[in-house]
Amino acid sequence: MERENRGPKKGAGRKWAQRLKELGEQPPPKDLVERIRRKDKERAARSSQPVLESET
Amino acid sequence: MRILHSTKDLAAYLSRTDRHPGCFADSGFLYALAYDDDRYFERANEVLEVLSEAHVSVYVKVVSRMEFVDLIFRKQVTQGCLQLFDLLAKDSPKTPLRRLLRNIRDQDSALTKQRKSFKIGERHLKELKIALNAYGGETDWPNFCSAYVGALPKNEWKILEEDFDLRFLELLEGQVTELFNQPVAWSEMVNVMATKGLRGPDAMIVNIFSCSKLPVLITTDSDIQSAFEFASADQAVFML
Repeated sequence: MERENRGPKKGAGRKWAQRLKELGEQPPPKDLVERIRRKDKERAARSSQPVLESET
Repeated sequence: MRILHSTKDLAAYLSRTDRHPGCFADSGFLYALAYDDDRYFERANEVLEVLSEAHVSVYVKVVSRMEFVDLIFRKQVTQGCLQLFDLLAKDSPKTPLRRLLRNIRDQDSALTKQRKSFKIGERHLKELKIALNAYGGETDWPNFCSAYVGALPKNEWKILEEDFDLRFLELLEGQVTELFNQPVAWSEMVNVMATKGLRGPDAMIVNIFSCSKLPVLITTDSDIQSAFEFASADQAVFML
């Protein structure tokens, strides 16, 4: 048997929208951002190193 | 079948109908309630207030429940991509991750200008996962998703369903429940697809609504309009 129909709570949509918005405005995980930056720097440094004659 | 154009018409219709106190809705309506960058946001929330006043529950098919969760997941991950792009933009080496994030940001900006809500699709999700995994952290992808989807699948989802008074219709072939006038037949859904050129999920909405005792269908999809003839004369459709 179904529960009684009471309808949505007033303002439920806007409350939910606000919650999702706040969640979406959070900064990304700090360790992820730091690792991306560090590894990109390392890659950039490697690719800018001069190629030695003996390696060619 | 009537077509309702204004929330005033909807309120008047709901006060007159002697059908079951519920409305049938698609995932487009639920999504429009949840994101203010969706062009239907204001109207959808006005409709929800009408339903609240009239004590009318919101019924969706189980497939729409899954579609809605999936839309929220994709939108929240999109938001995360925009945050990550903002943080990394200044560094600017042209890595695959940055190119991907820039592409997502550009598509979001373009659709925002058209008052449309952008969500990444399956291809972007796969590319993002690969691009993040390339930085070596096995938990980066799940952690990134968790940051933006958070506790939604656990506690908050339950609260949402209660606050929206959401109910789910799960039907087996030929089954009749107290919400239906007649059994829902798979062959009828296929008939709607074949004669009206609707895709499966839309045809399923038309078929379930037509067989149900629910007075009104709320949808963002104008394609469904072509199949109104399948519903009863005293049922109505509200187009957002």
